[in-house]
Amino acid sequence: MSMIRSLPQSNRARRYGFSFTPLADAMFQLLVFFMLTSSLAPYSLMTLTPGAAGNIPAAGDAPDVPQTATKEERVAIWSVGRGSLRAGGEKVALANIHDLVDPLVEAGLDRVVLLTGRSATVQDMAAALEALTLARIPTVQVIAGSAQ
Amino acid sequence: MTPEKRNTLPKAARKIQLDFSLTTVNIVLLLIFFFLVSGSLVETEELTVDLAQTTELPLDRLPRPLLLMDVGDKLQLNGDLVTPDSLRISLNPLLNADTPRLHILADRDVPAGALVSLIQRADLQGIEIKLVTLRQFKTKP
Repeated sequence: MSMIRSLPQSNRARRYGFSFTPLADAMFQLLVFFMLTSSLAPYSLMTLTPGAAGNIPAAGDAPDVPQTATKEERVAIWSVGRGSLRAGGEKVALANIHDLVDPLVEAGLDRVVLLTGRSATVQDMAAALEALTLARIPTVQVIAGSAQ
Repeated sequence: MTPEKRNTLPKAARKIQLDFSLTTVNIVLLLIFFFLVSGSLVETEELTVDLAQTTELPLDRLPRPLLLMDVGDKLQLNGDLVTPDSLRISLNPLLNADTPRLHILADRDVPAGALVSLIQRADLQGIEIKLVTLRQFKTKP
C-alpha cells in the first residue's frame, strides 16, 4: 500500500460550468406560446353608451339627453342604409360622409339621430359613427329603425 | 539584460468563454417582451369574425370583458357561449364595480339593428359599451 501515490492536487480553483441551454429551451416555449395566443391586430374602440334611446356621446361620459329637441338645439336625423346615408332627402355614399358632416359641424349641430335601416350592417354604422365622433358632434343617438 | 531580469507585463486573465445559449436567451427574452407589450391574448373564436373597419380612431388593445357577436346570432362572452337571457348574469362577475364596461366584437356583416337592440337592453343600462373595430391604415395615394 505504501507504493500508492496520489496525484498532486491542482492549485487552480475548480470552475463550475453553467449551461444556459435549458433556459433557452424554456424561453422558446414561452415565445411560441405568446406568438400563437397574442394578436397584434390594430384595434380601435368606439364608445356606444346607451341611454334612453341609445345615446352615443362623441367623447367622454354619456350626458343626459333630452328626448325632445329644444328650440335652440340643432338636430339632424339621418338614416343609415347599406353603404349609404340618407339625410334630408339627400342620399350620400358613406365614403363621402365627410362632405355631409363638415358643413353641419360648422353650422353648430348639437345632436344627430341615426336610424339604422334594415339593410344597414355594423360596418355601415361604424363608418357613420366614426365620422361623427371625429367631428365631435356632442351627442349621437342611434335608434334601430326600418327606414329603408 | 538577461531574460530572467526583464520586467514583463502580467499575463492577461484568461477570458471566460460564455455559453452560446446566453445570446439566444437574450434575444428570445426581448421577443417575449415584445409580444407581451404589443399583443393581447385572444380566444380562437375571436379571430374568426371580420370586424368593422375604421381608419382614423386611436389604436387600442383588445380589452376584456369581450362579447363576441357573429352573423349567426351567436353570443360568446370571453370565449364562453351565452344566451341573451343569461348574458347579464354571466357578465356580473366580470364587470368592474367602479366603471362597468363591456366591449362588443361584432362581425361587420351583423345587422346594425341587432347591435342597437343589444345596447338598448334594459339590463345593460349603466354599463359603458364600446364597439371594437379594426383600424385600417390608409394607403398613401
